[in-house]
Amino acid sequence: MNNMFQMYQQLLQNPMGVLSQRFNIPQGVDASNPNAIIQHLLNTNQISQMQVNQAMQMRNNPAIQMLMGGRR
Amino acid sequence: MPSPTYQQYPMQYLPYPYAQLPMQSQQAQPQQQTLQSAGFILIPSEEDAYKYPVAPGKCMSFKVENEPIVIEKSMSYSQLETPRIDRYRLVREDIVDEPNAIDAVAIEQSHDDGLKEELQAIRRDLEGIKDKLYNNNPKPAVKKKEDERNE
Repeated sequence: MNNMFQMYQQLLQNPMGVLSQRFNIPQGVDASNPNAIIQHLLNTNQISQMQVNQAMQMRNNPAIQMLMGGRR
Repeated sequence: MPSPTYQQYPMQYLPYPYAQLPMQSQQAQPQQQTLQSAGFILIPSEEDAYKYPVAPGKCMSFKVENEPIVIEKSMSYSQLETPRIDRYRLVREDIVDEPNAIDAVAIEQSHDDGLKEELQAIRRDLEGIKDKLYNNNPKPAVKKKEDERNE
């Protein structure tokens, strides 16, 4: 339970740090740019082009944009 | 009167091969879904195509919404190279047959004709200026030589 709480606290304090550690993203990749992270994951075969297409399709969906509060 | 066991035999035997047919068709559906190709990806602006992540060794085609522009982004297998981006402009061919439509080819030709006329007008003006200069100051090079001799 303590471990879960610590992980949650870390995720709140430094979300990009936790995600970078989880997906082995090097420091050279711009962590503030989602497309750069996706490109790195593609280059390292952690995700496929089909998954990226599906994710981008969902991101461009107006209904999902409304749910996200108009953020792109 | 036939015996009841003889009538029931084919009823019990026949359903077995047909029972598997709907199961086979249900299993084939998800395989067809995975084989679908992406085709053109609609994007709201051209910048989105430049930012779109593409896997090494893949080529993606994008169509800009509300604009006749197609962008092709391809990544080579070597990750050190920058992605190659080709931009194409689409030309509608069916628009030529419409009587009141604007023909893109005719516009290009008219632009060329207009440019030619402008160039000819500029050439005429230059010739006029040259004539005026030579008429007002005939043979400027000879004058210099005469000036040198006088000095």
